[in-house]
Amino acid sequence: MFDWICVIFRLGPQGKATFCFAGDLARTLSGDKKVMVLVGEEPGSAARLAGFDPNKLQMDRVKKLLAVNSEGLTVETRTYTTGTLPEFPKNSLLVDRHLAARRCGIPIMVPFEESGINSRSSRGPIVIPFGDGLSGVRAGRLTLPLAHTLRRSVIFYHTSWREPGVTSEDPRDHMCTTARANMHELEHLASLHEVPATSVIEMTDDTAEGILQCTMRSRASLLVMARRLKPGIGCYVTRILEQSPVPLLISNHPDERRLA
Amino acid sequence: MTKITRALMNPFVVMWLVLVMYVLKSVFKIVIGGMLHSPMIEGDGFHNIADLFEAIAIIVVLFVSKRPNCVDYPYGRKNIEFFASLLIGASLILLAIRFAVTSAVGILSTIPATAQIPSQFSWLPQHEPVVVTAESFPWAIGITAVSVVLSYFVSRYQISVGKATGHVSLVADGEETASDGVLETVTLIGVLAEHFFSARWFGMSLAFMVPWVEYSLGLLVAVLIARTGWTLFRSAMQVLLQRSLGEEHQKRIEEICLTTPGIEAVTSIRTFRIGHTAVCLASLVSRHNRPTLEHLKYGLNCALRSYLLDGEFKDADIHLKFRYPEPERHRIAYGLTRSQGLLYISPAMKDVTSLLICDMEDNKVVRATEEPMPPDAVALLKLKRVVALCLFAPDDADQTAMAGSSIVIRTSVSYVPAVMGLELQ
Repeated sequence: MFDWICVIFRLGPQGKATFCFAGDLARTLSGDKKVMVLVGEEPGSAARLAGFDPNKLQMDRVKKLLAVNSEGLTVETRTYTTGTLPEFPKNSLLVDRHLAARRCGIPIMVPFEESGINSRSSRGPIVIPFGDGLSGVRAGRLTLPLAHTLRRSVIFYHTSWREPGVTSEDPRDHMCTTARANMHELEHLASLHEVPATSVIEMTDDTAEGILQCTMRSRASLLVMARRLKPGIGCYVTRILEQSPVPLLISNHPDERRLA
Repeated sequence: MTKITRALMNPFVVMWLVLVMYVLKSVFKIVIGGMLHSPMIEGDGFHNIADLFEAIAIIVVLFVSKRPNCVDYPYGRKNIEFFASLLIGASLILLAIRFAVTSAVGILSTIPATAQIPSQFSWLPQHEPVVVTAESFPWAIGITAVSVVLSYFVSRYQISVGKATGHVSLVADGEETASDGVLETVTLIGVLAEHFFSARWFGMSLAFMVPWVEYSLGLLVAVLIARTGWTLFRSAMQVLLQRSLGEEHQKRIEEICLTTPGIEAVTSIRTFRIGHTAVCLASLVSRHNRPTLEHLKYGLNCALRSYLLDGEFKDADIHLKFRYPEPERHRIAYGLTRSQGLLYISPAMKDVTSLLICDMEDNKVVRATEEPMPPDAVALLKLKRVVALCLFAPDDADQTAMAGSSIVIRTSVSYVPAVMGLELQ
């Protein structure tokens, strides 16, 4: 599914928790259980003036962390200059919170306060919101193999604006053609991957709140959202990032890094 | 659901049918018992009159319990049903005691050596053997058998409607009707036993068996009725005294909370019930911000309601309180180096020019003071109650320096003070 699970090395309890989440994910999803640790290098003028090499010290710490937390994993380290966006290997998934708000061209898993994809004993479904654009289908394509591996069901969530002139109270009657087509495509993809799927269609006032309420109501274990390619004003992913307690997988467009 | 089914599921309709049953039972038993001079049938008829008043009382209780919530009664008046259940439970226990004593007296009267004991205690009921003549036998059997069948079906009906509509008093009254049916069954068996054992079988009289069969069965029935009564009494008492929903429910509630992403711990769970409403008060620990907590609250409300309504409750009132984890206040110190106009976190003790004493709350620096490096750094750190000294690249000498004290050496994430939240000049 993913060749590499990448994680940016950060010291402290949160950094360690993120590394553990990445390890857990690699054990579950990556065939070779490969984890790439990206270690930031600092120009470190002050440190060099003081006569010590902070990057060498940082690398020593990475080795210490890996010595105790990487059992059963194949771990590689790669350096990048702090303050720049790291280069990620092809077909990889990044586990990180800080880079989630940026467009970095690869899927990003934001664990929030969770220590592993299987850390809670409830095996809740995976929620995939979709709209009338292509991002929902992109999120579905990324998630369905993952749902199959994790043996989780999926919920395709859509909230529609009320169509003027339509009196029906059934939200499905208010869906636009493209959203309906997307729903059918997602349901078809789910059956291809043999993943149990249900579609939840609502008419909520607030889309982000609707997504989160559906996630919480269904006791979901993961929420997957795709960012649209062209940045505009406001973003549901950003709002969900600020408010979700459930781990969020952001499916970024491969070209967005070039556009960003 | 058809109109008739809906009507039959109405608790008031059920109780009206029960009233009709008791009217018919008491009229027939008193009239026919009087005609046959059978005190057994007549007495049972008067017992049914008492049941009639109980049924009227249940209708009143149902009426009161159905009144809507108001400011004075925010949870409604459902608990009145548990008072009714408590009284029915108590009356069943008393009935069981009376029945057990009567049966015991009957057994004692049968044995010649103990036959006189009951008469020595005036407060004990005196033994009255079942006397059924050949003329009254078919009437006695017919009336008792019809009563048994009616009691059985009506009690099942009351209990199922009571459970479906959440009316405890209806269930309790159904249990009481069922107990009546059991007593009637014992009477029926007694009448039949008397009739069959009084005849000679293979030249032998088995009449001596009659009281043994009847009263042994009576004792067993007394135990069964007492058990039903105790169950009703205890469960009503538990609700009225607001006992918790029980360990099993509390464990499951805790499990639901802890399997929700974002919940770090459950500090307390208090549960009780009011009528058929389960009330749950839970204090939870989470590190999330207020908007996220609102979503967590919504999700937990949905999950807990779904769990509680799936069981025996008709409604659930859930109150969730969130708090941030304990701030874990303590003091740490950073070794600082000020040299050539630069300021950075010292790699090791030998480089330290000053110590920054930091008050920590939840791993964040809330207050810091810089002290010049004293000749005895350990003594200063002890004086300031510091638990850890942070250096960027501590070496073995630093560990040795702290040996013997409770201060530990920690590795600082960065050598840049600002990165560590230390905005120093």
